[in-house]
Amino acid sequence: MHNALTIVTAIKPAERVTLENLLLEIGNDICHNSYMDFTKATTTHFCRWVIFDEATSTPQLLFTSNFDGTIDTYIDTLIAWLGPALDSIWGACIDYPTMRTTDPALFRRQFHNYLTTHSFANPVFFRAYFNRSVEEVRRTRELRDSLRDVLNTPASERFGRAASRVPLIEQPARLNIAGGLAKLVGLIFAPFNAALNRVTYREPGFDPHDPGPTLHIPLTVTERVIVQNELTIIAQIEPSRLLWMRIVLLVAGPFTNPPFTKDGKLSDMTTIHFARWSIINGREGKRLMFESNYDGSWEKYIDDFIDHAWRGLDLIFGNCVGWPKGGSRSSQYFKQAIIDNQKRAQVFYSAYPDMTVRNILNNLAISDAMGRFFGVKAARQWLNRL
Amino acid sequence: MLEFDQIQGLVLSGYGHLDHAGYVFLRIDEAAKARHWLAEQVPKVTNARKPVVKPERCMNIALTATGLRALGLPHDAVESFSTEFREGPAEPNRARIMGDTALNDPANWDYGGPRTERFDLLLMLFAEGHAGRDAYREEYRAGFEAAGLTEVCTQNGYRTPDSHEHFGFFDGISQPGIVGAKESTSPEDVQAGEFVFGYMNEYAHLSPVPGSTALGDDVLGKNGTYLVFRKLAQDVTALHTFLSSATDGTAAQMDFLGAKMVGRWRSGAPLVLSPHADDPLLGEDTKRNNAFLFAEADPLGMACPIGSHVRRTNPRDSLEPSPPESLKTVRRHAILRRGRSYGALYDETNGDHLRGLIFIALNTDIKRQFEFIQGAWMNDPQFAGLYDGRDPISAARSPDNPHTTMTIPRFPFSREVCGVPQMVTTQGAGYFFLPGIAALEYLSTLQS
Repeated sequence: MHNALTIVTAIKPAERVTLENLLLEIGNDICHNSYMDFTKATTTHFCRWVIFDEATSTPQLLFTSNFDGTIDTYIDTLIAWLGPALDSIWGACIDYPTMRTTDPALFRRQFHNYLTTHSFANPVFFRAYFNRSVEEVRRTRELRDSLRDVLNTPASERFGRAASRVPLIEQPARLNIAGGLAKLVGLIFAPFNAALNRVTYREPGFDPHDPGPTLHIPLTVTERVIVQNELTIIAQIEPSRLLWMRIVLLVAGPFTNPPFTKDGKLSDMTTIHFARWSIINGREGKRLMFESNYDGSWEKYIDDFIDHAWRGLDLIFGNCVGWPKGGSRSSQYFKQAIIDNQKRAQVFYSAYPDMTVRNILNNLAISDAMGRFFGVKAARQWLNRL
Repeated sequence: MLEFDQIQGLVLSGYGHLDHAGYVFLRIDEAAKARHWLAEQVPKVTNARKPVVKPERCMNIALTATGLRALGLPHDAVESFSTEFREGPAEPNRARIMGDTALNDPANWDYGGPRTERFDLLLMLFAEGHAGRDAYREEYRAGFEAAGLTEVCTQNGYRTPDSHEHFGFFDGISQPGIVGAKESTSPEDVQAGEFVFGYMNEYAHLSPVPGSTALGDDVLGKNGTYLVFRKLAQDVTALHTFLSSATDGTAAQMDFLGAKMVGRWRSGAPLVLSPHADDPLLGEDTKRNNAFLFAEADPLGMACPIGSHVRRTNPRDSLEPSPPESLKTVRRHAILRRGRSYGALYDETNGDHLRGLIFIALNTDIKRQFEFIQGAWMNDPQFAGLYDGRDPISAARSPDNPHTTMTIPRFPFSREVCGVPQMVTTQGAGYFFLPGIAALEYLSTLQS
């Protein structure tokens, strides 16, 4: 089962630079840095460390993780996996318990406390491969790779060409109950959607003659070293709209989980692995934190978001300071607002640096189908009949 | 309607009736003289008004960001041009994202790279016959010194007699129609603002005109566009060797695999309309050879593979989440292609000679149009759910792997063809601004 952790801790101002350099060193070399061994992070799908500053207060450290299992177990995993790195990272933050080496048992209790008191709820938590563990994702990839290896041999190729001449017998169409239910749900929510349209499009500010600012997108924002990219937005919430924001997130939460998300899609987008919206503390008021782990370029992602999810975006981001009056469809202004509020993650870890959401879902589907229809006994019986 | 007299002719026509082209790269050494020369060229530049009689010679002019500065354009106005244009294609991060690494590294380019001389101005000459083109170029060469211009290099291009590019495929079939270019509009036409500044684009905005805020006037940007220039060397021998090794070596199988890689047969007949064999009559029939979609006729790619060249450079209605959405998306990433071939036609004896494609694309947003097609579709090994399939015919391979895999959907299971080598190599590139006619005149009146 999937879980999310959002931790925000205040950094001791004198240690900010050292901490940033350390995190950058780790982030630039996930596989071979000397501080943390990510091969031990066997239950972590994606995690990141982000330093963000606020105008008049101490710098903050954001840690988010998307992992398998309970939070308690995960904190124990962190202690075992990170070891001395805990002191280097959270040791640079205020109120960190310092007895890791001298009194491990006490440290464990205190560190649990430290993280839980600094953690924030995640009312909206989307995951494309719902509740499938890191191990399942890795094993199903190996399964497909092995199958493909067999199919790519010359003998299989000859079989494939020959088999393409075998006549197929059409099975009679079966009643598609799942499909019918999905259509019904869609019909029920259609008037709700229409009402949502009117609510979110309250401030028309769309001007065809004003294409918006020329964007200067920093390359650090768009750089892609692995297949996935990270997006971290921390934006100030308009104080008068805080309650509305909480309600929106609370209501939206269930809609980002099955049965409302079909085929691992969030608003028709098939490129998001994990995404969440949370409200975190800031010195000058509450902040909206949005984190996403997605495939493809920044531009394509934002464009897709604008094209497919503008209603949801306006409902949520519309409550933040500095968001365009014309909503997310004033795309240049919207992109500028994102650039203004985007923080760069110094460390971004992915458990599968070369697999897209579609690859992962495809592998899981191959394995699931085999499991459902070809348990070993059934497979042997079927093969016996040939 | 478009202001045809104000737009350079290359936007609406590749001048197909003039089979030879000369692309002259020039450096501006003396601004005042160059501006004077530019002023003299303004009445001679070919515009987009359809001529009563097809001219025997056509000429167009484009400039780089360094060229605009050299002519004396104020800093603010230059800065209002897009980042991609100002930095150019050889900028290391851009080159990496575009796949211009390893064999394609700008350090190896004939022009446009960090090791070659700077150029400011691209003079494009079109004439009939290579002698005609050479004579045309000589006339210009006589005047460069007096114009304060130095010729950095020159590149020839030509239309092959049968319009097939060097790999043997009929090229240039699929070009977007432009709203306002003709009296009648078809529903698939793309908004003019995607290709010319100052007109409505596919986002229902007027495409932003460079320089208008800085200068308080549209004159610099309006009716202009960006021109992407890429010299792409083609290794025809590598293609033949690969096709032979990946099949039983018969012409039929090699043609079939080649067609699967491209998405069309050599004649241009699309696989979707003719999945089993070439159909030359279909290939040359301009009314039918581009009239197809994927979603209903070929959703799984059984006819035209998902990773094939034409399917990934123009996915039509096959992208998620739905066919109408896909068509809308594809119109936002469209380019006009005006390229030509270079180098001798291939035969068995001259496989090692240099030959290839001068790729030219016109668009108003280099990042969203040309670079998107190349980066997000062509070069992406995970395009449309694939696992490791870059464009088999045109994409660069990755720095750590000289091969890619081609998946050919087929019943009962897809065929994976591994070990597809790189066949196209970038040998030069540049990003240019192709100004409107009034803009050229404006540039010629600048003061240093």
